[in-house]
Amino acid sequence: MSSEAPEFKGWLTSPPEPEAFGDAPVFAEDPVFTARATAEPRRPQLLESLPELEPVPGPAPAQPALPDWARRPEPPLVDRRVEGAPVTCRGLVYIYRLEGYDVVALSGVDLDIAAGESVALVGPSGSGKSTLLSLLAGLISPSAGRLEVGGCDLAKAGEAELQRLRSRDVGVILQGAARNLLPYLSAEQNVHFAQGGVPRGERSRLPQARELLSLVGLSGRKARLRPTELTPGERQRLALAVGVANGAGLLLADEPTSQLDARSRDEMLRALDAVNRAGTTVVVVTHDAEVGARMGRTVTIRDGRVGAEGLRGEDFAVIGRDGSLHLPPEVLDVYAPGTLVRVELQPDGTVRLSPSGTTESAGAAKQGGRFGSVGTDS
Amino acid sequence: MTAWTVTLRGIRYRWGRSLAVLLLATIAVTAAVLAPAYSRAASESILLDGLRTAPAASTGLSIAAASPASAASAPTANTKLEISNALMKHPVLRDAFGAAVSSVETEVLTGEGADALSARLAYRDSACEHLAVTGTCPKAESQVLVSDRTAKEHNLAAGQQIVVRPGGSARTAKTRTLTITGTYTAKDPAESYWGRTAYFSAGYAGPDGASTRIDAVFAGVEEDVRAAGGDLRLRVEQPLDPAKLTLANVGQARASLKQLAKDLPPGGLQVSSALTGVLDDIVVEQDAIGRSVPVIAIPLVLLSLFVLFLLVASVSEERSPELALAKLRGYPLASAGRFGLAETMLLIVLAAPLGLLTGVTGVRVAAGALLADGTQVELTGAVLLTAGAAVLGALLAAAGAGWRSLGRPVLALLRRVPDRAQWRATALEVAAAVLAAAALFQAFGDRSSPLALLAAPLLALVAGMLAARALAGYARGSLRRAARKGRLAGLLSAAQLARRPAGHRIAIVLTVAVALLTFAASAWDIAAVAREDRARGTMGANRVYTVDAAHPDALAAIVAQADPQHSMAVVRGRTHYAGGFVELLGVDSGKLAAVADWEGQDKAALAAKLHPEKIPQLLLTERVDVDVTAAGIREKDPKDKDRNAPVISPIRLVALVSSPGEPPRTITLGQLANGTKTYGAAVPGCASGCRLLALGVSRTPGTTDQITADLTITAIKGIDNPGFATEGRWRKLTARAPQAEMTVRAGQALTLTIRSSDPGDVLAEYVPAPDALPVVVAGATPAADASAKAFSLPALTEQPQPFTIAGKADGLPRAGARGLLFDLEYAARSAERTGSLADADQLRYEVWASEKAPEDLDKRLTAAGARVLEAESFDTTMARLDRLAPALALRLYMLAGAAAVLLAAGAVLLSAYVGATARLNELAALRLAGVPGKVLRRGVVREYRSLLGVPLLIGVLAGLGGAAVMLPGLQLVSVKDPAGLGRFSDLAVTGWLPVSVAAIIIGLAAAVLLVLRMLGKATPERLREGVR
Repeated sequence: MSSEAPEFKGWLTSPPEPEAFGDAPVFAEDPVFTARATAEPRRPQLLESLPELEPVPGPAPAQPALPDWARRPEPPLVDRRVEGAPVTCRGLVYIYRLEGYDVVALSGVDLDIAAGESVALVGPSGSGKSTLLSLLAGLISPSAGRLEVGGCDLAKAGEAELQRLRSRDVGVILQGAARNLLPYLSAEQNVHFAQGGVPRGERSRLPQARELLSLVGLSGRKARLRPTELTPGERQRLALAVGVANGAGLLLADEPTSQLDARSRDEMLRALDAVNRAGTTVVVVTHDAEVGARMGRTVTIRDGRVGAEGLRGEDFAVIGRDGSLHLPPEVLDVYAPGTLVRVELQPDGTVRLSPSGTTESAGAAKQGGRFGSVGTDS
Repeated sequence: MTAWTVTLRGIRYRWGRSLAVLLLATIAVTAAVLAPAYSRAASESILLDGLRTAPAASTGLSIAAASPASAASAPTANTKLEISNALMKHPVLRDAFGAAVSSVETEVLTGEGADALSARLAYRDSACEHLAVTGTCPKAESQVLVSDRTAKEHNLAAGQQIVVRPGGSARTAKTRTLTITGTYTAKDPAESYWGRTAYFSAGYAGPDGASTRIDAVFAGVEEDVRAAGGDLRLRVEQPLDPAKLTLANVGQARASLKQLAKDLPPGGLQVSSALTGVLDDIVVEQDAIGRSVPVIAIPLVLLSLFVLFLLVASVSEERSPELALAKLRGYPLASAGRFGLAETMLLIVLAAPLGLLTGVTGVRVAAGALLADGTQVELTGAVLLTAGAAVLGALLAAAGAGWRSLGRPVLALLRRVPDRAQWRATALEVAAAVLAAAALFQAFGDRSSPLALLAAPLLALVAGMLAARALAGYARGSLRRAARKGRLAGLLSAAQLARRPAGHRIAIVLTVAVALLTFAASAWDIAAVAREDRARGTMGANRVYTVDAAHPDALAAIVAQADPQHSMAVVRGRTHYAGGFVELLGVDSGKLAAVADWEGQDKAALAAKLHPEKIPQLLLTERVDVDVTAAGIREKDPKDKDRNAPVISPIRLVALVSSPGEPPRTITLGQLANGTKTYGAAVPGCASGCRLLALGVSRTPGTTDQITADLTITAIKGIDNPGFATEGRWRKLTARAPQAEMTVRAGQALTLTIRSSDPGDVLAEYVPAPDALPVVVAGATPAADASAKAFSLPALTEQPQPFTIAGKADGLPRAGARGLLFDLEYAARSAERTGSLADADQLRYEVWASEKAPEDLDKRLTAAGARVLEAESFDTTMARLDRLAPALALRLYMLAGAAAVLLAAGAVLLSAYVGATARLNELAALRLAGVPGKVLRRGVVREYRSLLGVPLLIGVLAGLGGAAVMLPGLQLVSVKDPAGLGRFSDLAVTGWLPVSVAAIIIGLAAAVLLVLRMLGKATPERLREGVR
């Protein structure tokens, strides 16, 4: 955990009765929540040296009508603040060792996520997103590289440290809401159960179950319902409440919106946003570009590495620590893997890629118009 | 929310599985509790049965004066006090034995000469309470009771006086006059009150050989007996109350009995009780049940725990995602373990009292239905301890099953891919196979050792493992074939069998259970045949009454009077030969086929061999008159006055006759003279018939001159067929005059040519029986040459009796594996030619009755003059054998086998039910993919047909194999009885074995139907998230 982080104040100084929410907005821009907006996420070193980019305007997502709980302003009394946990990956490698052969799932991931940042991990199936999420949750240990979550070096952590990490610092939402819940407990009891891993002496800092449920719109009677009695959207939000029940600084969510309709998805995203605004670092694995767009930052994992990054995930290719660079698919359509290219740094700071067998000038004349040069935007 | 809430809600959510865990744990505890509870109850039942079936005279305590003098010197009251003081030191004996009954008795004679009667003059405490008295009970000095029978036969009545003088060895002239105040009949001569006394026997010769024995004469006061003189016998008898001896104090009682003799004051008091021997026999049976029950219960307990292990493992596997959640939320290992195991542990703890209650109640029900009346089933420390051990075992099994899941990482739990621990399974299988081989090896040496007794369950386990492997191989083969031929149903079923580890376990459990039940049912069926054989062998007939008869003829007369059609007189004896005993069985051959229970023999043919021809007896009443033409008799010529002429002594015609039960006596018929004449004489004491044994001549006592006579006997008055014409019917009786010469010629008349200087009577005996008695021999022939066809052996008398072998048998009814069976009538006739059978105290008299004999035969026998000492029946014998250790153990084995099959069927259902969600989803997905429902159904049927069919077949074969190997050497009737070994060939197509196999098949078919019904819910709709 960063020592510069804002002082932990707890989630709620005086838990309101469910009725106390009344018509008050749930996600009001109170000083505590808005303070996060000023906190800059830690960007990759290369990006830090560049000017801030304007978001690429995309088609405005259709905004479905929000339910009452989502339209309500956040309760004015909420001043509980979570200390977000930063994440640092350096050359992170993970190899699945199967019978007779190994599969490299992650082959050198370099990624920094600042405390309180909201990040979407996108990428094709099998690219290593879920493996990265499992590593961040401490469910598996890296084969190589360095991985720190909230100051804890997971590569060196023992089982007890990992257990403590999961009990206090990391919250996980598994893909499929029902997998996060005990079907025979009510919503409120599920939250209590999720808090059971926190040492008894530290439980006083935890948010009340009803408070959490109100945060995700499951107050009142719904708190007493069992998961099977809730709608899929409600179940997913209950899974979110359960994920952050231990007051974790890092929330890891695997496909939290994959089985939801648009309305439920938006409710879920709002709830995630609320959690993030409370200070929690949120990392979401998703295939949904729109979800990625709604997160503060999108990282594309491709072939076990961070392939690209940006608000839309493909805005920038990322040069790896070993100098490797993932080319965009459209480039690969022309230059098949195995093509020999010459890489030249141009005086203006751009980088020129010339396939072998072409003269520098001819190649430049022929290809330049098509590809121009590869380099950093200026 | 507390952990209890989560646990209780989890139990409620998984109520089916929770109930199954509760049931299995309850069964495990019940099975464990059965061992000590049933073992103790069975031991107590054996104790009660043993004490109750033993004769009261055997189990009672008798303290008698060792020497008559000491008894005479001490008054009874003092002796009783001393005995009472000695018993005070042994509270167990004091409580177990009832009120002391003291008696004083002496032998007395009354009457003179041929009318002399011998009797026991006895005083016995409270005798009148146990006698039906006509008249008044004697209370004052010189007052006595005589039996109704004695009064009737000897014309005695109340008010008459009898003069008694000492009998036995004390012959004095002292007499005492006693007044008869009434007559009596014993209310129940066999009741324990009468102890070892022999008060009620009459009709045979008294101790002096001349008098006739009558029933005891009871005096009103002890002093009368003492004053009568003679040898006094003082006895204090205390009957045993079987209910007072329990397992808790029986050991102390045995020790106290040995110590009691030392605690009695010096003075010749002697303790005698056969209770120690009875208890020794009981202990042998108890030890057997003590060894057997745990051996039976332990496999059931282990099977229950194994099924519990499987269930908990399955439930834990199913709960893997929940456990993963706990670990994902950072629960420490201990907390995650509590969360994962709390439900199971709580249910197992709850099962403890349920199992205890079920076990004890079950044993109580069994005790009420199967064990001896009054058998107590107590909640002893051993029972509680065993229940605790079973609970601990169940907890460990559950923890072991759950630990595998608990130890797995979160992702593995979420993926629900079970760990493969092939090496562990292989190691366990090798260990089980080695243990089974060791048990089998031990079984061939000593089948009663605990390891040998475990051979059958261990073989079942090995068979189970083989079945599992066979099933896996079969599944892989089927999978390849189905894939090659494109049979979807076969492919699905084979794939399920090949990939499911649960199938492997189910195959083991089912095979073991089926093998156990098959073995138990086979053992029960074989044992039932062995018990029935044993009961038939022990009984010899449907009912057997041991009676008190004077001699074989008296017994025959009693039977003829009581039930001439369906009952048979049997005389039993025993003779010692070559270091062992040979049982002797004299039967009424004419009724053998109708009455005797003798399996595997042509009884009619045997009877014909035993009694090949009907040889009439020569019966006389009151007189014997013989028409004789005599010649060659040297007579002194009256005209011869020569003083020096040799002396010619007159000779007499004599007859040898015998009264029933008495020794032969010689009757002089008259002095012989040449010429034809009828000789005759009265025969005293033959009003009811005597037998003419021989005719001949007798010289004048003291003379030594040679006697000559040529006698032609033409007739014996009153006897139509004296057998003169039959060659060999009459022959020289060599024993009386071995030096004499006699020629016996058969014809219309019996011609005897006699030349003798022998001092003895020269007699021609009538041979009323075959020269050599035909006999059926069981066991080795009691002769130096075992292959001899004829031999001689002392039978009914001490004189060797010639026998000729008419047949051989493996065993004789009621006489066991070594004995001789012969015709009683012929044997008695032969024996009585030389002596009296009334003196043969080694003989035992029995009346065998068929099923058709009257129900009140015992009363009829009593009315006919016999005292019924013991009554036995086939049913009571079967009931007794049913409650001996082997039968009690086998009952438990049957119960355990049935429980094992129920467990296995439950395991089949549970395995289907626990994995139902995943399976339903698979099937639903297949439906969604277009696989028709009937194909899926066919696949499931094929899968379960193989899953259950292979173990069923191998289990039955393993059970039968175990039975074939183990049972022939096991004592299935009584541990003391070497003849009660099982024979595998006795396994019949009827009995419990086919019923058990049919029940297993029906039960498993029902289980498959339930599974099909459950899997019928596999519709595509259930794939929607949230649908359960």
